[in-house]
Amino acid sequence: MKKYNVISALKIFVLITFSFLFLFPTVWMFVTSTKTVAEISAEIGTMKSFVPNFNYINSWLEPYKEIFNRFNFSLHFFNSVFYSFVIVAGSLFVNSLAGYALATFDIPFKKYITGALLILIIFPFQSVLIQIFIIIKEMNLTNTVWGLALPHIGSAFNIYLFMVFFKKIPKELRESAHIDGASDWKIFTKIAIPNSKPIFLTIGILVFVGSWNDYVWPLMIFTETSKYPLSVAVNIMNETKPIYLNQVMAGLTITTIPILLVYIFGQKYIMPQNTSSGIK
Amino acid sequence: MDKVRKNINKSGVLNFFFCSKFLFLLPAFALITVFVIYPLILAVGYSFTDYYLLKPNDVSWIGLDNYIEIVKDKYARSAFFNSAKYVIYIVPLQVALSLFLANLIAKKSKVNTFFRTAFFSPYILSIIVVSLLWKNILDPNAGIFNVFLADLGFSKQGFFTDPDLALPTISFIILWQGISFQMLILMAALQDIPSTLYEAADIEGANGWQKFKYITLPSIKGQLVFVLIVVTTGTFKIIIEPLVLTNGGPDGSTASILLYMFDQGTRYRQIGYSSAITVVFAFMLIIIAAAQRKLFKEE
Repeated sequence: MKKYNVISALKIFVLITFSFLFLFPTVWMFVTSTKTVAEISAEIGTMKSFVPNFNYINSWLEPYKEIFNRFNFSLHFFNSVFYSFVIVAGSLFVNSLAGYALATFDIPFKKYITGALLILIIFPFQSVLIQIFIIIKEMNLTNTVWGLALPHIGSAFNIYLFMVFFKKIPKELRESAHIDGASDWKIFTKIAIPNSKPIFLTIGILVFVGSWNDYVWPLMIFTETSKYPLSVAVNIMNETKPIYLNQVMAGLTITTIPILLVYIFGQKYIMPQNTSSGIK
Repeated sequence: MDKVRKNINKSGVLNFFFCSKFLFLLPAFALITVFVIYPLILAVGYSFTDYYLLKPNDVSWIGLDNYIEIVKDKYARSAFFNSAKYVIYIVPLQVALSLFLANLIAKKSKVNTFFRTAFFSPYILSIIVVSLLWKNILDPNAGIFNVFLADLGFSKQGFFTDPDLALPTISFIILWQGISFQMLILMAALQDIPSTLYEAADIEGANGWQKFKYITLPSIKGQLVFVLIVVTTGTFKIIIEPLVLTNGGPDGSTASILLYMFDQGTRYRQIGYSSAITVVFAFMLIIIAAAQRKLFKEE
């Protein structure tokens, strides 16, 4: 029995240590964003820098107000929301159509098309950044939302995920509609989509998080500062002198909040069980 | 001629292209052709030229010169070595630690829900946030970690400026964020193992290590291989962290393959040379993918 207690104590110690290691940067980010510069430098190196100061709760939002004035943060926030919306909407539309076609239609060379898609998944977007940039430049789409979004919309991986999901919808549903004279398009919008909310949400969330976090591509195609999304704007903020730590942390916190909300509300759909299911 | 057309029609090819079914595929295939397949073809084509971004009309074929240059270029060589180092530093530790932590919190309980949330928290931060956060925490002068070190009587460390420290520091940051997701995958796998297996082992008098080796490991082998593959390919593709934290420095000691490719293409505008690096990288991806297929087939 005694040995057992030692092991549990050790286990709890390990768990608490790791919790601290994983939590402290995020806690510090939030806490620092609510303090004045004077407070931060007075408390640096002490445990106080991880605890918000409730005496000054009224001035917590001051750094946030500052960055909205100093860096036009609302503009970049709106940019990010807009870009993500275009990419998510486009990607759900285009890839679900293709996934549905591959899952249900009688298409010549279907096996080869699916095989080719699986091969294309190997090559990540980042590896052909330069070539895509040249294509976008030739199309005169730099500094536009289309230049940012179009290369992100068509995705072999998402087509594949849609295809796997649509294959699970019972054939009978489609066939009975077909006999009633419904067109392919009607069957897709009236039967397939309403029965596939989970996959639309899962892929929608994955694409949203991906586009919200995208950094290198917007950095390449936007030369006008006013078009930058949040991810690029916060990095500029971190390098624009004078650098105020509370303002930088406020910027990082704002960048994080939308993703946090998406994860809280979409929890059910993004658990890794979904992503790795079928592997056993 | 008529016969040919008839034959084609029989197989449905002609019908297919003129009916609505093809329209379902068209948008996605157009986008993938233009933004995935065509760039890959361009990369191969450019890699045999001296294409310089500012002189698009003065491009000539130079054969394999770019590829020879990769071998000769000290910084290109170190970028390839750096990527290998990232893989060696990150992959084993990340897989081992996520398995270790998943084991500790697999049992469903209220306390474990707290720990799970804590361990998962880095995952919701974007890469740029993680990079800037740690950049400030580990800042050589004002970073809380260095102030803490100084208070303990140690000297301050240039985590991003010391050539011996920069790459391990970036590896740590990537590891710090990456563990969470892999941990959840392995945790779900552990929870799927039927408890009767362990009960039977208890009756046989097996100890903890034996249970881990003969029950746990074989049961989650599939997910372990999956995690191993995801982490390896993910680590291979890193670009944002070194770009933001060190810009590849000091003296190219943290540049990954993709960052070096990106740098050559954007900052130095050497599209031809950059494309050659992309082609080599793509070949490495193909080899890795083939190895993965083999691993999965053995499963």
